[in-house]
Amino acid sequence: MSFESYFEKVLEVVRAIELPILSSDEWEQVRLLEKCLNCGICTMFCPIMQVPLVTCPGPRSISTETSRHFTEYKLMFDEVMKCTLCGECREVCPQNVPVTNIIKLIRKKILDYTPSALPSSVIKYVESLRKTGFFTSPMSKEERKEMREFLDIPVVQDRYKREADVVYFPGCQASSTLIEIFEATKTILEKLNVDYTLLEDWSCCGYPAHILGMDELAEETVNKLISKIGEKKAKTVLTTCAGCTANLKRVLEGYDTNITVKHLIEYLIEDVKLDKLIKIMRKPSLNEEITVTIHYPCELNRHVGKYMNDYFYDLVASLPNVKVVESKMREKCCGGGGILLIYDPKLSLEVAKLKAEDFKSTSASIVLTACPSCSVNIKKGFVEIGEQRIRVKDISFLIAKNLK
Amino acid sequence: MREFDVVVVGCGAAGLMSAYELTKRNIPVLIVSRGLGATAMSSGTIDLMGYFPSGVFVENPLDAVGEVAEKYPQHPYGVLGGGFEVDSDERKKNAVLRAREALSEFLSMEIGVKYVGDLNRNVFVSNPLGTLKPTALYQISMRNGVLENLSDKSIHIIGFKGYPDFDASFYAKSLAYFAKILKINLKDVKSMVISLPTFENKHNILAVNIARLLEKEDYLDSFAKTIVNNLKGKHADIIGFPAVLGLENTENIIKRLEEQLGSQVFEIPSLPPSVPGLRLQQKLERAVSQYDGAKIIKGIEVLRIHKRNRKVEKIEISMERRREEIKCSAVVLATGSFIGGGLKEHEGEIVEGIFGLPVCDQKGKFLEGIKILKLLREGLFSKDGHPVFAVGIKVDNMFRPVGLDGTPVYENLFAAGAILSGYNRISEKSGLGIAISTGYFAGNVVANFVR
Repeated sequence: MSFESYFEKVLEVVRAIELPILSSDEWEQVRLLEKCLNCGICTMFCPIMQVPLVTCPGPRSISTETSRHFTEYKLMFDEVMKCTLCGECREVCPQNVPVTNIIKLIRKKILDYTPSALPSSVIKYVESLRKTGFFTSPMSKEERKEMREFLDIPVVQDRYKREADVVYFPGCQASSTLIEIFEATKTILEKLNVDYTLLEDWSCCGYPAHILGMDELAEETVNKLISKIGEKKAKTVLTTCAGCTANLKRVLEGYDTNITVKHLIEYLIEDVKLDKLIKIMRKPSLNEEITVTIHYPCELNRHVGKYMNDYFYDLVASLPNVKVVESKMREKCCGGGGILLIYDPKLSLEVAKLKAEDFKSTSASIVLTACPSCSVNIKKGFVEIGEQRIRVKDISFLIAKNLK
Repeated sequence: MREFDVVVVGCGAAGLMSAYELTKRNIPVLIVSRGLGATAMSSGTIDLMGYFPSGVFVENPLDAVGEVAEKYPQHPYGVLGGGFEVDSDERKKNAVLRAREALSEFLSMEIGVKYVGDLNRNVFVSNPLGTLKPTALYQISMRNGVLENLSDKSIHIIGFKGYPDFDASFYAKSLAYFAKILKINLKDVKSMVISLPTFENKHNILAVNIARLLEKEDYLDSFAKTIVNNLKGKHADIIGFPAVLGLENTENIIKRLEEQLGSQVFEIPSLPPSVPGLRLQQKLERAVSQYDGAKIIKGIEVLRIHKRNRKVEKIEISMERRREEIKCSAVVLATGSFIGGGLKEHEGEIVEGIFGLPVCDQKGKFLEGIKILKLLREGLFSKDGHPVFAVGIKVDNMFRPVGLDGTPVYENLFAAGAILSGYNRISEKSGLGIAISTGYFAGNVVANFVR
């Protein structure tokens, strides 16, 4: 028997008894689980586990169970779906065990075999992504025009150019549910005289599919997007969504390209520079001082890098007449990540409530975020605890509102 | 590229203590750490010296520091006293002085959980299995549970249904057994398991979640009521709980509980994930970040160091999607030992992870080419403690790591805490005491160095 045919035979057996077939990269990830000390520090910090009555074993159990015998993963679908993939478990882990990567891997392995494991609420979105290329369908230009009337910021026309330095990619959520971010960013770019363009024809960045472990669908979607961006000959892709930023940065690391992805915050600090930004902003009178508090989105904070937190703080603190007060749980996940928002909305809301309570304890009247998903979820949290004084705004909106 | 005067690698007790000394003097410090380590996992008690290296019980920990320093110049307390450079009398005097200074500095931090105890007297605090360990300082919530305070009292131990890290009846039996050995008379030790309000039939309950809920007054009241109902009129002088009594307001929670239960209340240090350990970690972190110049970043790996002329110039750290170089004039290495990740196994040998410093055993002999298996075999059940736990790096009297030739490897690299060799923290019960005093001293040395 030749080696090839022998190998095929072994594979057949492996498939028959449903052992997981892992690539060497995947094995490397799984092997990292062996470093887990079973100390449980992760369980003290996990945003899901701080919901007192949650039935979720948390990162420690996922890590210990799968490190003993990886096939255990088959029984863990609900456990791995009840995760926001915020990455705080890895951040506090003494051994840096990448639990979130394992969770993504387990999701992938389960959904490869049984795609029907997903509840219909999630399947709806996946089907939409597969058919239309969008996770949530964007508004048409006409619809957006109508919506603009209700925003109290100066709005500008959409700008489409054949080639430009910067491509602004708003992402699914900012072009459907949170149109204010889209409009505000355009206004800021226009005011700064940035040579930018929008994409006439675009698709989702594939992040939702990636965190569901549907890597093929994710890759297909993101490739379409990157080729569209490439056509514009842009140097920078500007994003306003934390998820898109983290995902595009991750994907482009594997590409041979000189396109860099920057979140609006990063772009304003590194390329525009703060003093130039301050020049285009109007000087509000003294009694207009507002107190804000910041929610640092996990995808920027932990998936891109800690420097994003400093950037975010510096940007907000430099705005005229803005006072920043920091809350205790400022870096905790809002509960909206990792598809949890649509997989288990109730649990997601419980986490958001804890966040809302924390923000309520500060003197701030505005919570600033830099991620549409976080905005939506924290808003829900405030509604749930009956707090009407505090508003949740995106950083782009606050800047656009105070332009000259 | 950012610039900080000092970069501290590691955010356990040693790293944070040295950062505190620096930031207090307005020296900008960046604390980078891979995650939380042994401090956050600890029982939250601060033991200065529990047993002499010979295995004899220590009555007076501060005196013991001096005695150890006098006898063993390579022991961290010996190095604290001046190491080989000074004679034994002076070493003894210095070590006691500096350890006392460090611990008083720690006790004077007015942030977070309050510590009590006597540096000149060891007391016995119980472990979650009912065994006893000597310690000098302990959190205020543990005061009533110190063994001598339990004498001639009736004790009730309370466990929670669905909380897996504590077995009340085992603890009670074990405590009674060990108290008898130490000739402390306990009137009565009883135990019971109650159902926590609102948790009812849940299992795998986390201590930290109970602690978070107990911070809320109405939950605390229903908690107290449940206990009163379960006691059914039986009176106990002291009621012991596993360490779940709040994260921030432990003192108030205990006061309120004592009022409602009509008995004294104490906490038993718990297994990791440990609430007292988290309290200690948060106390130190807050103490450091109350000053503007300090910055703590977790989840960071130190990738590389850039050196020039026996000096560390830059430290390269990796964030998720970006690498950053940090320029600094001094570095404090406080990465801990095996749990913290400062020491690790590589090709069968123990190595220091970041700088590749040579490691040595308790007696100061370098372990070049000696396999970890040999150490493991030698003293698996040794009475003097396991030799692997005494492995660490060697330092000069300014806490600068030295190479095989005995001279400092880098002029501006300092080390503190569990990464040091020359002592066995497990058998001596001196872990956090050494971390705090060496961290304090290293911080002072670095402050003078960068000025």
